[in-house]
Amino acid sequence: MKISVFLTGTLVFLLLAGAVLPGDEVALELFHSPLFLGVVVLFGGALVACMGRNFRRWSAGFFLAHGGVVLILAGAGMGFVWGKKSELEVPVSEDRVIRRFPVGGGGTVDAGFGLAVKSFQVERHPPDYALCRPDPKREGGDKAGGYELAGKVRLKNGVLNLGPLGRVPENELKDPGGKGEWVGECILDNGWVLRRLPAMDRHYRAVLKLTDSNGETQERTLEVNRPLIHCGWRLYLMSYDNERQRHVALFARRDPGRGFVVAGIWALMAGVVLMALRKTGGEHGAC
Amino acid sequence: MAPVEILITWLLIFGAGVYFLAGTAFFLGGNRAGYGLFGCAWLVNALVLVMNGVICGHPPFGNMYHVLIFLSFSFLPMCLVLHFKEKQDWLHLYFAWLAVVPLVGALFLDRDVFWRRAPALESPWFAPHVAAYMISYALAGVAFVLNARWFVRDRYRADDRCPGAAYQILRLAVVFMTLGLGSGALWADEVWGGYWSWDRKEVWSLITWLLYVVHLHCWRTPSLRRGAFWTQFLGFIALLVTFLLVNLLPQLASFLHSYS
Repeated sequence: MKISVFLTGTLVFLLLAGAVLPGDEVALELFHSPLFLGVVVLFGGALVACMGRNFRRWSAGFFLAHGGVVLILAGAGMGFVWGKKSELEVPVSEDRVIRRFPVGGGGTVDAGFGLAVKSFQVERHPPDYALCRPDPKREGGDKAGGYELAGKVRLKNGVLNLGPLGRVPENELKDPGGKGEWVGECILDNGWVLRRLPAMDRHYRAVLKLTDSNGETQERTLEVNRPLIHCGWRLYLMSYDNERQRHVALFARRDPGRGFVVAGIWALMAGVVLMALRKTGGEHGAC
Repeated sequence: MAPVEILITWLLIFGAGVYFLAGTAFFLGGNRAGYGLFGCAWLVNALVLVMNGVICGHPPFGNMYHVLIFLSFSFLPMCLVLHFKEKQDWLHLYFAWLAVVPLVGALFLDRDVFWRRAPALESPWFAPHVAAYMISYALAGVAFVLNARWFVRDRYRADDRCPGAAYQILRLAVVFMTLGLGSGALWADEVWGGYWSWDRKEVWSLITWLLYVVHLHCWRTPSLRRGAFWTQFLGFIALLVTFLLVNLLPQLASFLHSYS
């Protein structure tokens, strides 16, 4: 037990050093250093030894929790050694096919298939509006400076409810020029003003054209939050060119240890829940 | 300020006041009044939570104001869990008084009630991840106060019940902390392409978790029990850094948790 506590303490100390170091890259160097990795390996070894010592005193929670951490460390180790990850900026064009993914250190790796982004689409929430009243202190100023914020209002059931100031139906704010746009500003009868706030993204998706090595092509939709698995790669839609939507940012990962890590996380969570259901009390000094 | 924000402000003041009165009633031995007031404050707290959810149309965990309301909300249910599971029926005043703190904090924050979820937060993991962490923070807060009380007043009394109760509370806190950490990793795997990114908030949350895990191990090992107080003390400091400082200090800024 003392060894495990000592190793955990050392791990905490190193994590702390990384957490307070200025600059993410310096911290990352520390977390990938032989010293840190060595402590992690010893920590994993201590957990295995602890499980071995307690083998006769079988407790599902104990083994799931400790075994879960071992699985996570083993899977993370596999990912560290054999995993590949790549960040891609892909133009929205059927003709721009990417076959090699850039990886760390300026190199590239053969993806095993061709990837192009055929189309991209963003759905946005209706914009909220800022309700502004004339500001007597700023009288005489320009239009933008002559108002103060009275509150924010949100469209609900097609209506902007302004309380005592009445209601503004959606059709008065949307599409005055027939282009499907929301008006930037709307002056109310009492001189107050509604100003449009930036609309937030609701969802975005891209249609990918994937060409396998045998020339077979398929179209698949990649959505934010929903990774797509193809030829052992997991593809993620991360973001997009905000201004013109001409390219999308993808993240690609091939990680042979991922399954171990996910299984380990579930085992750890199940293990601690089972351990908490046990009665408290008792002491152990087994490892 | 919009009328709904004014209403929420008054409800927060009322809720915090009644939580405080509940704790005071427990302190003075008026348990029946304490239970009534605690329940009343919790209902007001629940009303604000529901209002936040209805206004933003999502589980209301979008900003510090939202999560503080949930943090306050989680004290009474956890108090009841400990009451019935561990037969700890003398802890109510700590839970009631500590529930005041997040509500008072929420009063001083920018209450962006019209928050909308960014697409990256549109995940089934979002609500359980934040909720699990808030419940664990509530429990860790109570355990810290109990241990601090023991350290300041009662550390030379052999029969004091505070450290034992704090240990039982932290056993539960670590469960929720593990669920929060695990669900966060699974969520990140779905959204960002990796279960772990060495983001500052992730590193601090791992430090916090490890310190509390060490605390539980120290407590259960007679030769290490002396160190148990200090590990939970350091764990609570790490918790405060994870919850508050990482978001507030630019030097510790967390990119992936910039929504929080």
